[in-house]
Amino acid sequence: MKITQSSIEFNNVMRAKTSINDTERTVKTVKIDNYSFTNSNSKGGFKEINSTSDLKELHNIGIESAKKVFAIMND
Amino acid sequence: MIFSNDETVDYSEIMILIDGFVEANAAIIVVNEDKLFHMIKRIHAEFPCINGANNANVFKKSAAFLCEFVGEQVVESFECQMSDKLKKITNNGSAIIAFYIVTTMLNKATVQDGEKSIQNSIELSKHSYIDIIDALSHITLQGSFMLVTVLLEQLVYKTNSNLQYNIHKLSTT
Repeated sequence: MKITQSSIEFNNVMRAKTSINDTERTVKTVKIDNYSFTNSNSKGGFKEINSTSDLKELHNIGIESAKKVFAIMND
Repeated sequence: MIFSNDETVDYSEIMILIDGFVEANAAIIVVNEDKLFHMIKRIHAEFPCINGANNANVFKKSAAFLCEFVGEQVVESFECQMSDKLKKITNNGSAIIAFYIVTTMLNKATVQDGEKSIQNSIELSKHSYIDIIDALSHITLQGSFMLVTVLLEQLVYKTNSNLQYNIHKLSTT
């Protein structure tokens, strides 16, 4: 999968535009209608992602983290 | 976030974070989806601790993910503006993306039997960042798992000192 732009959208589904060999373009859809997370870990765990709104938040957190990474990559 | 009870969910979350990196930094990243899904299945099924992933802390989980993501070279090509020193590191794309995912995931994660959480993000100098990416660029699960676990623990403890267990001096000054 070649990711060249913001390619994931959220409307109860995740759509990731994909291109193969730069020519063939398809749209891959992963439906996220049963977003469950069971943390049975007694040692602690990662922040829970339980809904599509949590996924949007994760995307936004990723963008903010990525900006900081970019800054240190080019310091 | 990752190590959920559904490998497809883990896959989606990782792809969303990679997408965030692309959006923020105008990067072009080629991800081998088969390798990504395969490595997710493997770190669930063959977690390198005797008690398995469900009984491992977030540092061990992060290390397992990081080692497999880099070792499998999930990122097949990586185009992004970066310093000349980073450009010279082979397999830099997998190391940069894996480290970005892990450091993002560790925010707000819980530790010490779930009683405390990581509140402060990891902080690094440019020099340390380059050295870490270089060190991570050729790790493997078999050869590097515990060292990467300790690295991540110590990076988190540097800005979250309250999360450490009792510490002792190892030498005199």
